[in-house]
Amino acid sequence: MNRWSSSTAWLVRVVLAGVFIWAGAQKARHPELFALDLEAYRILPAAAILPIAYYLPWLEILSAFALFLPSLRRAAGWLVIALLAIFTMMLLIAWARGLQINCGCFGTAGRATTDFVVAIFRNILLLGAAAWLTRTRAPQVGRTIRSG
Amino acid sequence: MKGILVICLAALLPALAQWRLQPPTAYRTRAGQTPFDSAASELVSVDTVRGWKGSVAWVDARTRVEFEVGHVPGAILLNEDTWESLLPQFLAQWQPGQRVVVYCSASCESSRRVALRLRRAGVEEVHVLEGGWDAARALSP
Repeated sequence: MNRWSSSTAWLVRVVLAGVFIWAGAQKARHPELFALDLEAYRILPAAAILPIAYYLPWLEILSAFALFLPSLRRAAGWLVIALLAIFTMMLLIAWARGLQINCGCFGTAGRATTDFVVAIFRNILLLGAAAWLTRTRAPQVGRTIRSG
Repeated sequence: MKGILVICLAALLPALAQWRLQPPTAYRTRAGQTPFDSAASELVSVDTVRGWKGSVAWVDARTRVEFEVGHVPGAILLNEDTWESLLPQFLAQWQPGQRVVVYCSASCESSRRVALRLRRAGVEEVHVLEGGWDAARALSP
């Protein structure tokens, strides 16, 4: 990976992690309000809503931090992709149903009613960034060159 | 795969800790039940409210523009956008022990969010009006 690509990967990682940490932190501040947001989608079973509302924000936060750990970077990238895919799918379903809800994307920092087009577009951009990050490989270090 | 498992398991720790330290006491399901007390009901109809003895504190969770067009007599405007500035005013007017009923537009979720916030602010008996403002109109002169 050349220097430009390496710097870009770093920048993308910072932006992606920043978004996920911010989103996770806002949800973690008020898990019960986030539970209401999840319930508004009318997709999840009632018994699952509170556990997910408590767990998901921390999964977002830790995935974001793991993006900076060499040993967990790729796993974190795949997790971020999976989360974004799920979020986008839920947004598409809510949009198709004509629901007027707070998507819960950024907890209480979000608007009362989500603009689905903006939210889906944003998620697609983040998905693209995460997919690109997962495809790029860090330069291999410590290879010794034997000369005869 | 191992890395994904590590992250997923690691996220369980703070989640469980938060559940323990900040248990869900204010959340009510759409069916009106708490996770722990199925007898507590959040949604109430206009007829139920009419049958209550004692005064009711009405909370309008719509926008200010909608509120000024019309609202339940005596209702206080309190929505998420103006939460910080209007909550003190509500708490000053609310009497401890007084039932609170929150309403918004028929299709909005704001009333449930405001109801949850009120419970977290220490208001014990908070309900959400089934049918929202459309149902509450019947109470307007």
